[in-house]
Amino acid sequence: MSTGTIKPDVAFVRDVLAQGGDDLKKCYQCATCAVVCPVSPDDKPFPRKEMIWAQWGAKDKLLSDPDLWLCYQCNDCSVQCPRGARPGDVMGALRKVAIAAYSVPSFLGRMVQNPSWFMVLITVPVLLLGFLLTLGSGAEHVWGWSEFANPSTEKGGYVFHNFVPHLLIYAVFVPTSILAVAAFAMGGLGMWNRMKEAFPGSGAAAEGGLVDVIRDVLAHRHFDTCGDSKWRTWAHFGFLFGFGFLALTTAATIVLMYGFNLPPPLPFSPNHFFDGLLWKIIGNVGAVILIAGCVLTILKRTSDGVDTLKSSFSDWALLLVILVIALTGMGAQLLRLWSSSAGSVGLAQVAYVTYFIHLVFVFYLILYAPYCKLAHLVYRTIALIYGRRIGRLQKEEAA
Amino acid sequence: MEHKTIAYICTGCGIGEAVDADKLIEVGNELAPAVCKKHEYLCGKEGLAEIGQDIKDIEATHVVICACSERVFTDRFDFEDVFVHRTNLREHVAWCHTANDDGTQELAEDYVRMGITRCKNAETPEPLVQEVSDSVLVVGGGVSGLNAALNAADVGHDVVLVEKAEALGGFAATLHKTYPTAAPYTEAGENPVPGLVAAVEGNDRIQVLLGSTVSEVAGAPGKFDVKVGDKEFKIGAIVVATGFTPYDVTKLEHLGYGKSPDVVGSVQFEEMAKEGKFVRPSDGAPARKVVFVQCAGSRDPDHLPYCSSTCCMNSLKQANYLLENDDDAEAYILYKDMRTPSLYEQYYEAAQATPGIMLTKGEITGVEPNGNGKVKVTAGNTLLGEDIEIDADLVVLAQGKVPVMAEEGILNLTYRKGKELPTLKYGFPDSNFICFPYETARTGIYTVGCVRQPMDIVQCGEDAAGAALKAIQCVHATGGGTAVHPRAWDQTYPDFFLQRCTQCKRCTEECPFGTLDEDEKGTPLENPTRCRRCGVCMGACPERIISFKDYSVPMIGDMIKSVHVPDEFEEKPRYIGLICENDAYPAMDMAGLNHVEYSPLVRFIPVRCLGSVNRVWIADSLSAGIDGIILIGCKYGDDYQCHFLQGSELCSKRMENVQEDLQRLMLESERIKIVQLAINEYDKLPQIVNEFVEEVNNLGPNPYKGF
Amino acid sequence: MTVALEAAETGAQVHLLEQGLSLGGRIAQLARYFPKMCPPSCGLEINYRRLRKNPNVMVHTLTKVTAINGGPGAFEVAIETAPRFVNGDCTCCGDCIDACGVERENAFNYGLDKSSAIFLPHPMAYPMTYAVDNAICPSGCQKCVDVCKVNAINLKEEGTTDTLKADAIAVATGWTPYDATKLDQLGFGKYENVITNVMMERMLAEDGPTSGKAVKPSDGEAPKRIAYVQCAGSRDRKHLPYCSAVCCGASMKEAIVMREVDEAVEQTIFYIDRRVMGRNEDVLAKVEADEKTLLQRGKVAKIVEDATTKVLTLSAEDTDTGNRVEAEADLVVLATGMVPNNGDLPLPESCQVDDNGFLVAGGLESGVVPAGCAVRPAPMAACMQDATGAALKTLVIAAKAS
Repeated sequence: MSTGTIKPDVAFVRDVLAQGGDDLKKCYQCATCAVVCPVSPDDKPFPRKEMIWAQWGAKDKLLSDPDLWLCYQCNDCSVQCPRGARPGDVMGALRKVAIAAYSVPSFLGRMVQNPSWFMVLITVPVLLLGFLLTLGSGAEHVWGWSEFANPSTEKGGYVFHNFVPHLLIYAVFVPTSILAVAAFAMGGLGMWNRMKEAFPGSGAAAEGGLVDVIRDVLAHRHFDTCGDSKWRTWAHFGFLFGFGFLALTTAATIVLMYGFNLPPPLPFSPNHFFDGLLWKIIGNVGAVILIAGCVLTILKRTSDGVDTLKSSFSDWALLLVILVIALTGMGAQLLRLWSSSAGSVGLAQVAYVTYFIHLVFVFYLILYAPYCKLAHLVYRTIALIYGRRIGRLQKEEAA
Repeated sequence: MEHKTIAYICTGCGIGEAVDADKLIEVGNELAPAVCKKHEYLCGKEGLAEIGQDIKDIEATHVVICACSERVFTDRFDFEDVFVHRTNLREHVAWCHTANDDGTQELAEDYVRMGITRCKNAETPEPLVQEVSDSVLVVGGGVSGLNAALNAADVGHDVVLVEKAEALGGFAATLHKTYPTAAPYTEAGENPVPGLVAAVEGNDRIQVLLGSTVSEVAGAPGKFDVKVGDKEFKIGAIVVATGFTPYDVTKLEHLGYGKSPDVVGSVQFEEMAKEGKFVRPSDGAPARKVVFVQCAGSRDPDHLPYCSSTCCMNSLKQANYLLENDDDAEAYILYKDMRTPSLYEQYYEAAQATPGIMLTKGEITGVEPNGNGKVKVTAGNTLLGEDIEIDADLVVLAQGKVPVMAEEGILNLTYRKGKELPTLKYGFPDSNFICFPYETARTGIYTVGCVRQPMDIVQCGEDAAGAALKAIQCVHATGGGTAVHPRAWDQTYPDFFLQRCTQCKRCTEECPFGTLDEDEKGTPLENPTRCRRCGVCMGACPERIISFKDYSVPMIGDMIKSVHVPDEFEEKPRYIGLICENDAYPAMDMAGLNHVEYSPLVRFIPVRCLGSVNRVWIADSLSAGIDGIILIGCKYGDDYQCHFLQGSELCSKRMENVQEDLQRLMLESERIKIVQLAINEYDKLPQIVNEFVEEVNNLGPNPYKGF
Repeated sequence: MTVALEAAETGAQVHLLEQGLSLGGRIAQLARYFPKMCPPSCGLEINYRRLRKNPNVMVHTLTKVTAINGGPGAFEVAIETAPRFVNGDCTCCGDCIDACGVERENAFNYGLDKSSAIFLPHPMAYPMTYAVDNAICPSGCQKCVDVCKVNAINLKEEGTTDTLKADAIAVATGWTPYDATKLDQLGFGKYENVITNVMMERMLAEDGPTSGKAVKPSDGEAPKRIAYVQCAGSRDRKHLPYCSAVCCGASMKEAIVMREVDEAVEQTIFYIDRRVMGRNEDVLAKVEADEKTLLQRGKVAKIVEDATTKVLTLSAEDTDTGNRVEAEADLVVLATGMVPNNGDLPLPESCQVDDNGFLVAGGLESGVVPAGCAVRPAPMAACMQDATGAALKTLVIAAKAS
């Protein structure tokens, strides 16, 4: 055992309390949680040790702890906890605090998770996109706010690229995505290094790596082992596959547009089935799944059972951003079709506004992905991979 | 008045089926009682009426009821102005021995003989009623003493309250706040001491003597002569509420005390809280990072082997002081076990909620100055999975409680057996601390509060009420001429036939309660109200000069001699069993109730305490031809169960000497056996009795048989 | 009993009301006291003896309080006494038990054995009088009545009511063990060899159903491995949020007695904190010194039974090493906690009850003095303290009222 590695940090404790771990301090270390956890390994199981580390603000221990990410917050532990300390929710809170801590630049991590900065952060894409759209009053093409004032039709309908040209989207979202990926890379590397420092050996390393991790994630294996809140499997399934379908649609659109020179709007008639309708259907199904996931999550997070997850700002922020993206995406599409078929300029303007909001939130999601709860998709993956290397496996796998 | 004994043999409950009652009447009549007859249902209306009528008609003074155990139908066989002796033919004969067997019949016959013989000498006791003082002396003016004084005064007793310090309040007065004492147990409470002090000072019945100690206690319950300085008081009973002193921190060098001024005791920290200044003694800088080390001395065989009971709660409270004063302060509590029992658990939970309070189990491995002005505390075996190291501004050692007991000068008793109360373990007063916690080894003197065991303010309050009650009860019993607990009903007291006293001092030495003093020649000076009526003195006296009206050396000796001892050719050995009436007798009853069978060769005689067994009974038995004597009494040693502290232990020592005597007389020492038996171990009786009978039987008959 | 005796020995007239068949309460059901390991029946006997000799105490068994009117100095307490069907003439001769062919679950032994429908409440009962469980008597059966030589049995006996006057009231209603079937992870009621601490006390009592030896209820054999599960319900918000104060000492005591009974038995005590206060620390020291009894920090979260061998597997985390432990045991003793009993007592409104059902020991204005486990979970010695103090307080109330 090493000495002197515990460096208590009360500020860290306060962060955890604020991020949904407000029952943390009730823990009296009976370890019921570590026993009832369906996924925790037998050797140094979580979350009992994480609970006391968190109570003591042992930041270094927690930030290098892959076990944080082995937990899927099924809350079996919270249901069984005799003190009502809700270890599952504390683990969730710890992950959020960890995301903020891994963040590069770190101030963004703190801002994104702080409700008072939300309006500022959302104003960034509003102003940026709003400003860029003022540039569209050129002689050749009219787009942006000029187009908004006087919507034009194409092939008998209103189309969004008249309002926001593709180039503009690329100009904004490609750099944004690059920034996000870079932030993720730096944050992830930082996390990797922390874990490497804390657990240098690879001892009883398990076989496999990214592929196994992705396989498990897709199959929701760990969610499935959760005892008391099966609904979360379905909800997360909704998010993952909703986004998946939408990503597929986006990719297909790009392929159709540049590979087959079939620019959007994608045809909507049966004879163009394969070059458009299929993807459209997939995209819409994705959106519906996503909305369903959101609704299920909202309902469950607002119900008041013992297995109800504690929700902090970060949880609601991500959930609502995703919901807004899904709803404005669907809404923009439907309003565009409606306005086109009705030939209504007013409706078209509503569609444009909806589309604008959609873009603002997509921007928010991409730019802030490394700093908000969504970042778990990277950090959890890294932790799972590193965990495998050092033999931190979930119970089922170990068995 | 002329002795007139009437005897009855009940044939109910299977007695009539097991033994020949007519034969018993014959045997009884040999001893010439006024009446000896049988009845089929003695405890019934008719049976009782018949006895009542006979008492009246014959003017009987003594009634022998040969029926069931004296532990049942006590109220029914209670006849005014006569001496009642119960001979147990049911539980001890009919229910545990073979019916219509010679052995059973002979046992019953002997019991009838013994019962009637007992009555020949026994007298109806007359209580020693006397004028007593009903004032209560309370020594110690802390929470316990203040409460005890108020409680006693509330029921109309005058109280003298003696406090060594110049002010009332004791240790509790130094507290800034108390930890929560009432539901919901979440907030520290106001210190109750000022209120208590005001109540005591405003109470006309309570005379407070500050800056005083008791210089002498002479006399006995009901009439203690107490000197406090130049003042003298007549006192009925005494409550000792001397409390505790915090464990001496200077002995805690292994926990860093003395190595840095910033390692302090919890008492010093409480003072800081009272002043509202949480600063480092070394440099006056604010103490923002404080480590509380639990069990500093307590639960440590090298210091205080017991748990001081209040330190966990106290440290939670002190951690809260720190955090209430400074939100950003940090309090670390390192404990062995977090002991917040009962409803106090709720305070643990509440205190834990503060982000700046951090707790873990751990073993302190070092407390050293770290060279940078801080104190480095290291601990292993923590819940954090690793050893920890904290650079603290201040380290607080949770001091335990040491009873103020063993020191000289608290009571200054003029008793022959010492000036102060005897202690048992760890400096706590000697008592049966589970079942009769207040009674000490000195009658009429009751301990209360932390001197008795570590406890908190609430418990001290309850305890004080209890001790006040015991003191008042003592005055009440003493005035009425009855014993105090545990023989509260007993109106007898020991009579000394001093003309025959040889000043051997055994009685004064052996009395566990320091009852007897001595004059300069060594003659015992009686103090009947100090007596618990156990009879240890009677057992100790080689001259047999100490007797109770209903219990004396000749009384039991004659019972032994009344046993019919067949000559050795009949091959019917006879044994005497002397059994403690408190535990062994009920155990035998239980054996009867469960129809547990054992050898019928032993004649059992209940004694007040094994300590009252006189060696002469052994001689009486052996010279009467009895083959062996078994003594069954309570467990002794550290966890003694004897109701009279040392009675059974003293008996075992005496018997060792007797065994040596036997060997000198060429008799086998195995003929005497002393056995410890708890009340619940009735199932062991057959084995104990049968083994003894067999062992002694193997030795052959008592060679003195027939002489 | 202690309040009654202490007050009576100080001159008060006392009515002692007991809802059950006998005095003695839970104490009568215990095997030993810690830390002295002495039998509670010894202390009980002292008190019985004091009671037998004290004319100032009127004992009412099978009696419930139905109403309390008036106030300090002038209480009127309405009581209802249920029939016992056996009167004080009963000599406990046993003829009726031999005649009775009906069996009932013996509640005194927590159902570990059976008794006949007419029975002695327990070997140390006070009053020492049989009672009939007439709920299970076959209708018209008169066997016991017919054999009773002293006509002590009347199966048609009816309850009575009365009103008692009192200056003060002490409430010492004690506790009931927490219902262990509510601890669904621990298998009580589901697995035969999971028992509660109070059942263990009965087993370890010489006068108990197994004469002082622990056995596996599944087959009556002696267990080779015993596990004690501390805080089974206590310190748990879902059950009893408070600590029951006696269970640590009780389990340690049981472990010590078990080792006296069976030299070879191996035992584990799973705990969160070992709460033995004051000199009860000695009990812990004794257990720590015993190489065959392991004190394991970590709460048992789950117990699973092997259906064929009936061996139980307990899961916990050893918080010292930080690893999970799975321990096998032949017998599991759940250290269930205390639930206060005063629920159905019609107390005056001036008496406060806390969220957990415990009476708040307040001032003496109400004229009602709570004591013992009616106030908070406490070991017997602390109850004695309370009770003696409560006796004084009743005297103060009486003195102030007159």
